[in-house]
Amino acid sequence: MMRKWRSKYWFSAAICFFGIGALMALAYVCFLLSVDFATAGFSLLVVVVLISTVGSYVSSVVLSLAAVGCLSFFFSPPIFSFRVERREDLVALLAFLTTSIVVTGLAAKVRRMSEEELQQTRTELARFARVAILGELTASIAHEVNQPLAGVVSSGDACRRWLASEPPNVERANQSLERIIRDADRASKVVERVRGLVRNAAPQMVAVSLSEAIYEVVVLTRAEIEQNRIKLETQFADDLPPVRADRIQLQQVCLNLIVNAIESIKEYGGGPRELLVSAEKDKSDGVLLTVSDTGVGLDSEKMEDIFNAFYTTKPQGMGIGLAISRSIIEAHGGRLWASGNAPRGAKFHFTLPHHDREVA
Amino acid sequence: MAVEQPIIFVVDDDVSVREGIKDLLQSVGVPVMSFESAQDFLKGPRPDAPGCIVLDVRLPGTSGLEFQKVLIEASIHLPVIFITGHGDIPMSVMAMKSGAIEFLTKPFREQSLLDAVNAGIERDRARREVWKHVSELRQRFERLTPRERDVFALVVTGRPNKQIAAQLGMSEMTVKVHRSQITKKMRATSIVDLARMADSLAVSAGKS
Repeated sequence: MMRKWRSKYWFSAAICFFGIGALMALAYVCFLLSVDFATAGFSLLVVVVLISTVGSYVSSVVLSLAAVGCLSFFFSPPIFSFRVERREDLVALLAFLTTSIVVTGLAAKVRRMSEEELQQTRTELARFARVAILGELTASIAHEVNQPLAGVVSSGDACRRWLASEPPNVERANQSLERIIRDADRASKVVERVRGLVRNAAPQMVAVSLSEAIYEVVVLTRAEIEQNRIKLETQFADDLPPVRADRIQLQQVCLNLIVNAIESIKEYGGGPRELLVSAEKDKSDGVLLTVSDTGVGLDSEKMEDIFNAFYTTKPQGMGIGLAISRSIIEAHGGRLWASGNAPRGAKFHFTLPHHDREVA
Repeated sequence: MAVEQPIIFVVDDDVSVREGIKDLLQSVGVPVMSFESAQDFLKGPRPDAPGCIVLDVRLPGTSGLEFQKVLIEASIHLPVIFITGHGDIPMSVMAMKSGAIEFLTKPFREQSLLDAVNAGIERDRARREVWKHVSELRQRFERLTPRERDVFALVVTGRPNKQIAAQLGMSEMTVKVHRSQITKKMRATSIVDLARMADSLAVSAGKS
């Protein structure tokens, strides 16, 4: 926040400085051309209005005063003095002030609206990409719900038999019921997670445990990983600090990187088929996450292209996943990049700041 | 004759499925042992009893189908019932071809599992009976002297003593003595019985 405020301050100062220079130069030129008061005033007003569209209220007021000063110095008798004697000068001052302030206000409003719109478009695009990735994982997610349901059905059948036996075995029946509840809970958690990822909610920056957030989405890809006979390994350092992030968007990025890795391993076809997700503390107290695969890998000249929107190496890919992932990580104040994995495959890394750090 | 207590082995990496099946089988009074992975199953000691394996097709590490091959190689002849999360037809065809009893899609109703398990136990029981019978015969056969074995081989082809004697270069009397020894040692009731035993032995020898 501090840095933002300071940069704004310097920007205002620079605008005032260059604005005053421009006004003085223009006034001098007008004076040399000996144009009348009205024409000079109008020319200066144009400059003030233009600068007001980018500046702040303070710079608008300063520039209005400077413009009126120039007018009174060069064009309003007594010439070469700032003394204001005529009513026209006061009217000019009023006109400059109101025009510049109104223009500044309008420009700020337009900027804010388009920023909001951009933000909303970004959020919607991210959600769209999330839904697309969940679409790819439909079979895996269905499996993850089906497993506990199979447990529920078997335990239910068992429970009925324990109760029907002579004498009823209430203890075992209770154990079956406990398991039914546990399994049903497990299925509902999966559904809840998927719903969380699909929900259209505004991003919320909170302290997130990266390992927990990742575990939740790894579960959704588990069946896909098993079916492709990929060995998944996770290595999370014990001293991982919480990161400041929107949980859903963070999960989206991880999901995207993991699904890409699975697809790459699938495409390569051969073995060994390994997927490693590791997280460690980085130098600046944040977290560095790495997803390494033994898939087809990346050409070194394409390391950056893959982050461009609509660039894709997959036949059904839209090429938005990585572009959105990078914009999400950058909006979180981190970095996302790719590198090669030895002896084969690719690595994707991202950093996220410690949750105490404010995002600049 | 007392019926041997069967045992069912459940191999599934998913805790919900594994425990659910275990519970269901226990509720009908069948002893169950459950394993998280194929490796665990192969590692541990297993009771020598008729039974079958309830196996998840999709196991991490070794897939269920690979595991089926490993079992055959390790001469573990337990019948296999596959369970799967999704109705994968090519996979089920392969499984049935390599001798699976049943291919169940999760979640399944108790009756289909219990039917499959009963069929598995029966099949294994029958296999064990045959195996027991053959190994008994083999033990008897091994008690024969080398000369008796030669005579045995010719007797069961139905040749007369005279021809056997000529072929083996011994007197007809000697053949007769060998013959009665063979019948006694093999505990055969007739020449037909002896021929049948020879068949079982040859079949099992051909098998292994």
